[in-house]
Amino acid sequence: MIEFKNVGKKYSGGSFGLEKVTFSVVPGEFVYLIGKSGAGKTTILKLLIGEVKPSSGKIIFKGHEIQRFSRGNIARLRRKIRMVFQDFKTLFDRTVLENVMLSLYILGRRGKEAEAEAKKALKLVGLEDKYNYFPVQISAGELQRVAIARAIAGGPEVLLADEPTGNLDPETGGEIITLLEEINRDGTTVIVTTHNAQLVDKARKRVIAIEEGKIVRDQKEGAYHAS
Amino acid sequence: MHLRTAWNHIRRSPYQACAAILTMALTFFVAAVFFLAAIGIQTILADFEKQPQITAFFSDIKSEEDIRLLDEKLKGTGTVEKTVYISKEDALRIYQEQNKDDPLLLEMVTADILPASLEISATDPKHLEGLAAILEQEPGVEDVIYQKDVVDRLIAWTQVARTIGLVLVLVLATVSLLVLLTVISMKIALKREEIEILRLLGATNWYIRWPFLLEGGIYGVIAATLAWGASFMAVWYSLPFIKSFLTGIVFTGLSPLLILTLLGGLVAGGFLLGVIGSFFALVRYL
Repeated sequence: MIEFKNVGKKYSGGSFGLEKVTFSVVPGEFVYLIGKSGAGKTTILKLLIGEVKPSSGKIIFKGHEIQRFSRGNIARLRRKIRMVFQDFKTLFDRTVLENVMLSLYILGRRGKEAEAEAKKALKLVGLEDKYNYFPVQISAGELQRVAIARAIAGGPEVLLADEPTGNLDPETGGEIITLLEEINRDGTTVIVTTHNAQLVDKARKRVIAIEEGKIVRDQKEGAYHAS
Repeated sequence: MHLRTAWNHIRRSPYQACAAILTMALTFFVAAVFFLAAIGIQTILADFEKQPQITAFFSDIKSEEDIRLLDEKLKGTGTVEKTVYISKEDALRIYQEQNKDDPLLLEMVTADILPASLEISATDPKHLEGLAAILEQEPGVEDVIYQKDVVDRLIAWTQVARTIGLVLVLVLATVSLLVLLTVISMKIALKREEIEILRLLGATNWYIRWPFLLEGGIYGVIAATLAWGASFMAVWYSLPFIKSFLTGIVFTGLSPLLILTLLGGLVAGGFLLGVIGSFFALVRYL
């Protein structure tokens, strides 16, 4: 489904984001991308949604090379590969429900249909009682859930989560990971970047470790640290 | 969907919306006033053209018999299509009809002080000069009004008014476009974050652009409707003054078709101007 073939990313100024990264992800997989800050985890996610272009190599999604996509095709790609951002990227002048409906409108859903789907997604993340709250009225953990609900509304094929537990306490972080696993069980491919060793160790999912832009480990049921 | 988003944009920044709408309304108001003035002048011109091309006014020494002889003399040239004799009594009746609402004016005038006249239509405008020359040489002819001169002068004024109107409307339209461009650009800048989020969620460029284009269009439609209302109010209030100034010219009034045509034209023009202004801002900043 997703293939990185010798992907390199050199940022302006000469610093390397990624160097010859090669891996593939099959449909329905759950993958942790781990590594220190600045290792290149977020760059991989940004390459996948076409936010940045690779300097070398190929990124293939369902047989198509993403780096060759036009702006219109990038937009269509982002409706299939949805991302949950580290800073949530919610709109503070919209209610929780309106924030989720935003992604459904883009998919072409209208009125009651969009509202019903948004409520379904919010129910799935446990926010069925917060539809009409504004982002400033809810906690960081709930805000993360809004971001997840917005990403899964409309049923994307791939869900990318960039440090989804980074700003949360361990208990709330655990709940978010459980939620992502539930979404994965429903058939969505999930790729999560994290620093959280405890959660990775507990999950026993595939782990791709990155150091200074290179893949140093790719383990099927891996732990945070190499055994 | 996009329309609702556009409406929300307007609702959330009413002052910027007012600035854009009022500037555009001024442009359309001036355009509407000049359009109505052009229609008015056209009516006056048509009225003049319907009237006989030469009118000769006679002094009291000229008897009806003299005038009849003169009439025959003119018809003898073969260049006259028809003539109409207006006696002093006929002139009084016309005067009374024109001033029926003003008893003071009616009291002051009797048939004695009004001149008799002969209205002459030529078979061709080129014969007018010859006919006028005959009339001017005739004793007892006090005044010869040469309608062609009046029409020519009116046409010249119309041309000048049209040019001034066109230049004014072009300048105001440019100002409107610039104001609209500034307002929409500011809105794009204010919505940078929202636009970025929409893009990351898979919105195409056109999905983001449509609400801004429609916002400009809505400004244009509101401005055009306001200008339409204001221009008709202005005409409505100034009509009695215009009528008293142009006594004798028949105004058919403002037909519903004209009113609706102007509304349709202004709304279409407003929408187009609004969309073009927004489009420039989008091309520049998005």
